[in-house]
Amino acid sequence: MKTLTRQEWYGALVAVLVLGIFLSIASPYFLNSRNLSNILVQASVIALLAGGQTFVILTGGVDLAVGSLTALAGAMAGYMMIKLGIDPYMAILAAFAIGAGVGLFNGYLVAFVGIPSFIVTLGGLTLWRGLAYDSTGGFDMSGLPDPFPFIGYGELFGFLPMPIVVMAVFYITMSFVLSSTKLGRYVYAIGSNEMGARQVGINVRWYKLGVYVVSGLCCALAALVLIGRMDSSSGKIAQMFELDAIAAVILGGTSLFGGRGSIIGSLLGAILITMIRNGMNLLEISQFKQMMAIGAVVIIAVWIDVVRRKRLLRK
Amino acid sequence: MKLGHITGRLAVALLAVGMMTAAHAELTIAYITNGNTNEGWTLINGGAKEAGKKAGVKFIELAAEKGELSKQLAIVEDMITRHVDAIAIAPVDSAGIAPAVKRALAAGIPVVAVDTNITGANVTSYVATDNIKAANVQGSWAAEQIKDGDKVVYVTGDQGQSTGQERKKGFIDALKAKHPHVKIIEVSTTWDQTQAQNGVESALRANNDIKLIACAWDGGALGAVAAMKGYGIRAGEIKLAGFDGSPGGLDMMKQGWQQANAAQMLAKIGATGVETAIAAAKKQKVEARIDTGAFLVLPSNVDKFAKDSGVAQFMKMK
Amino acid sequence: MNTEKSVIEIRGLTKHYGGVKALTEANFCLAPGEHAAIVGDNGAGKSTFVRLITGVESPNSGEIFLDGKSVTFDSPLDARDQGVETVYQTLALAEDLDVPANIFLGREKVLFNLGPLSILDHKAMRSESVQMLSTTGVKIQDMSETLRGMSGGQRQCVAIARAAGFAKKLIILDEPTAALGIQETARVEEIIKGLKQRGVPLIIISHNLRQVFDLVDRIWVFRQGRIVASVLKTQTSPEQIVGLITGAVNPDDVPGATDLITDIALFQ
Repeated sequence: MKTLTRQEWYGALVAVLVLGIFLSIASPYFLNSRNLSNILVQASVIALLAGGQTFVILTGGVDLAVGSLTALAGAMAGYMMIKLGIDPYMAILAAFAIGAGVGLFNGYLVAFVGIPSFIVTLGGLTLWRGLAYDSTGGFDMSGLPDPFPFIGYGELFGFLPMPIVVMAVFYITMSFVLSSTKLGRYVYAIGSNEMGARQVGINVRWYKLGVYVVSGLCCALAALVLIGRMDSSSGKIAQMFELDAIAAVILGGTSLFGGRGSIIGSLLGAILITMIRNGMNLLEISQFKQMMAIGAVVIIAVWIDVVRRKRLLRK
Repeated sequence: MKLGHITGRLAVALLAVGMMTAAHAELTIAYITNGNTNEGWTLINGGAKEAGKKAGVKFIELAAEKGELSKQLAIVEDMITRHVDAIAIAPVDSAGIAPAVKRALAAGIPVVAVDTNITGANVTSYVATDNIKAANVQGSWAAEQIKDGDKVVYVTGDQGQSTGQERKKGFIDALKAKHPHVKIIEVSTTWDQTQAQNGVESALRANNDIKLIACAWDGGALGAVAAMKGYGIRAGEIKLAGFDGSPGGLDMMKQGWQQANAAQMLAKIGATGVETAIAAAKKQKVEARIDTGAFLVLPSNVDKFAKDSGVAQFMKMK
Repeated sequence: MNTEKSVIEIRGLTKHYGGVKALTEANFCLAPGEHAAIVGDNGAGKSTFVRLITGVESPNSGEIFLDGKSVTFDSPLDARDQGVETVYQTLALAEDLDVPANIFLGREKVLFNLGPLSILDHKAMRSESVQMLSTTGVKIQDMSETLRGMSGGQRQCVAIARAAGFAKKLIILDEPTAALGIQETARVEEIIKGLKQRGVPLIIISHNLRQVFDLVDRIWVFRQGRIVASVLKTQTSPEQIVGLITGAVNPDDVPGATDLITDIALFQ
């Protein structure tokens, strides 16, 4: 029997609950359905990015380009709809194609050429951001056509905000993929022992390529929700989102060394980060202190990960 | 191990919310900035804070981290949750913030746009310098310095933006009203100092009878000064009109390079923004568009202006 | 020698890297149910031999027969698919996965085949894993625990159980106890003895002569890139084996030591 405390995401769950209790006491505005729904909506974009990032980090890599790729997919979709008058559903398809294409590019360089993911995606961080500005001429595109207002602000059955619906469906799907498909199993195997995975006949290169494609597709999905929420798009959206996404994954208990972790943890991590921001906004704590707090949380989470790994290795 | 894990995260959570302010006041005003931390915004934010203090309201100042629109969106949503009485906001993006602003307005919270307008939402009021009027002041001054038919260089801002367009229009309209035959050589930039320098250099090379250079912003004036220095022109030989009243611009005036500057009333923009928000929170009627005006800074009044506006604290030339 | 009776028979296997003669004219065979040891000094050609018969590398010349049929191995996977299971020193286990996941790693049972998104049949893999472990005599308390929490010996046992469970022809163990303590070594040896009782053919590469004499039926001695002797455990002694390994004893002076080798050579 797997006990609850043995799960990697247990710490994140406890942190969410403790912070939730604290904020309920500290602010009269925290604990109401409107604010809690707000937190989930605000967490959605980061949660979608963190979902893809989980796959990459589980294989022992990292994708630093997710913020820029989100901007590229979002800006291109906006540009196509507003400036070129292309059908919104075609623009959605194009966003996914961009996400998958960039994912293939990253994955090819990491898995087949052998460049460390850190370098490939660090280059991508500025490359895709630059392309996002350049390809859209630096314009702000606002007033997006249907279905974007619905994706961003619509409510399913009149009470469920769409970003939350998208996030929920996404996490249920990803959770299943990770736990019950070959891809999920091999993601853990590769992160755990890449050479061993190769020895037992897993096509490590193709599966590694695959996780970057998954991450790219997640960026596209996140971009669509983000531009829906802002009812506008431009090349400057999603600044530094990669840091929040990576932080969410790490806070969720997934190891930066790969092999260990869970998708549900990443969701909790994204919610935790959003709760910290929301709580500090409600408690009127300034921007700089918020930045410090998020940074400190991330360092501590990685610290815990490193300590935990050392103990496991000592066994 | 598990315990360390949890207590570690708990400690961070506590640290994160450790510094609460608990003052109580009748009205709560949220002032949401765009996260810019340059000198101009420091002055605007300072004015806002001062106005909040003077009015004795509960004043919440929050900023969009790294100028990120989605974070500003989240802050507006959180302030709706927080049931503030009014919001004064310097939007990161005119269009992108509209959905959240609309929700605030729908929730009965007045929203005042500060410095930058919001498109796509009917804000309660928009408080900023009227760029056309301020540029008129700059143009009128220039008109007094020259004769009809003289050559003048105008360094533009980004013509893809309303601010750049309005400043250019205001300057040229006022100048041409007095001297319809003045020759204006345009140096186009996208608010880039190097572009300004290169453009002014070419203009100087092609014309040896330029009487005056006017710029859409003080950074452009810095570029113009660099071009003049490179060309061996001494301070004051060609008259230079700046725009913004920035510390760098006023420094240039103290050094003799600038002879006039159409200064924005930066602290006043912030202060009026918050005052308007307070008035709206008190259900008083407020103007939909409030011009905070411009002030023509000249060598005779530069010291007084620098001191009164608070710009002096950032200047090199005291 | 009757070729049809050998599980695996190797004739004239040769591998030269440029001027380096890693392995020359190696002849080898394994009878059904037989356990054989490969011994020799470092650089005697053992590793090359193992790499060739597990498909890691291809020979310059020579033939491999499985159950009398000539085969070639394009890759380790190909060798595995044709029935040769190898337990590498590195074990090829994923520490962060549980026991059933490791046993079926790379050959998962699926409910629906959708390529990389094939849906895993957790139940079937779990119950078959329990079966495999108990047949091999490996005891694991908690099947859902990851390997990280297990000792080196336990991991080695999981790897052997996996190989035994899937091996259609034979198992090759590369230094299975090199990294283990005394107790753990004993445990792994018990498992290997169990395989002997079940009649699973096995080749073990080992430096530990005590272990070799304890476990196997026949010992093959490698020296300077050649297989120089093949003796039954019952007809030799550790001292003689050491002599054969170092060259102090001439194989021709050991009765029957070269019989099998020349027998196989006659078929070429």
